Amino acid sequence: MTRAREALGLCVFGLVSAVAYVLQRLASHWLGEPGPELVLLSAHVPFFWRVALSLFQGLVLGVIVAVLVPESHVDRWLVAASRVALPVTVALVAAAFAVP
Amino acid sequence: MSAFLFGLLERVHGHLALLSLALLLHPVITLQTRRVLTAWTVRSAWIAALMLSTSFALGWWIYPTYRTHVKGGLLADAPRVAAAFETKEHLAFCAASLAVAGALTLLRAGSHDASRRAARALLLAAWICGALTGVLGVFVASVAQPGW
Repeated sequence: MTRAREALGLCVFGLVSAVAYVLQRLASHWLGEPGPELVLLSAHVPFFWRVALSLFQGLVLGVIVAVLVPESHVDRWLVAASRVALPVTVALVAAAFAVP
Repeated sequence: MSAFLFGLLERVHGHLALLSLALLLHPVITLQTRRVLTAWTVRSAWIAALMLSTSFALGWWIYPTYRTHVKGGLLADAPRVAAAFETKEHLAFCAASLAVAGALTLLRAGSHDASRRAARALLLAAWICGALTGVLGVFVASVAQPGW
């Protein structure tokens, strides 16, 4: 595997992990969650699950992209990753403030 | 976990995150202003990512104690601060994952132009998320104290 492919996989890992985390938070908000009075009674800690699942999803997608993207497209994908990183971050920040 | 250990780890967690954000500015700025990648740019990126990850891991460690001893009271007395804490938690994870990805990208493929640009974008994104996390952290820490 070339260094550029590894870089692409790592970029996808970072971006997908962050996006997957926020999407899971938005999903649990929309699908319903226990009220504040039940927080201490809950044995399930959503934060831990979200972190673990989003790291796993980022890792899987990063490996898939690094392996499957054709060699001639790797540079184009890296440029695309650098272009979308900031708009995606702005969207993540907005979502994190909108749904605490 | 005792109240003393919780308070100690909470402060170490915050100070470490602040230091890592200051260090993360070095690769973010030098990758923008210099055409040549220096060894110290790569080093500062991965040291900052490591420190940010350690700070996140400390936060992870004290989180169950926060849930047991602080969160309930915070939700009852200051729901806006409790909400700010949740937002801080989300942004902290985004900052840590983006910083680790950016630093590893720089470490593995810093000599490659497109990879270096991608690493810079990820590190800048991590810094933005981290800085907002820090602001929220200071706000939350001013109100949220262990209630035991």
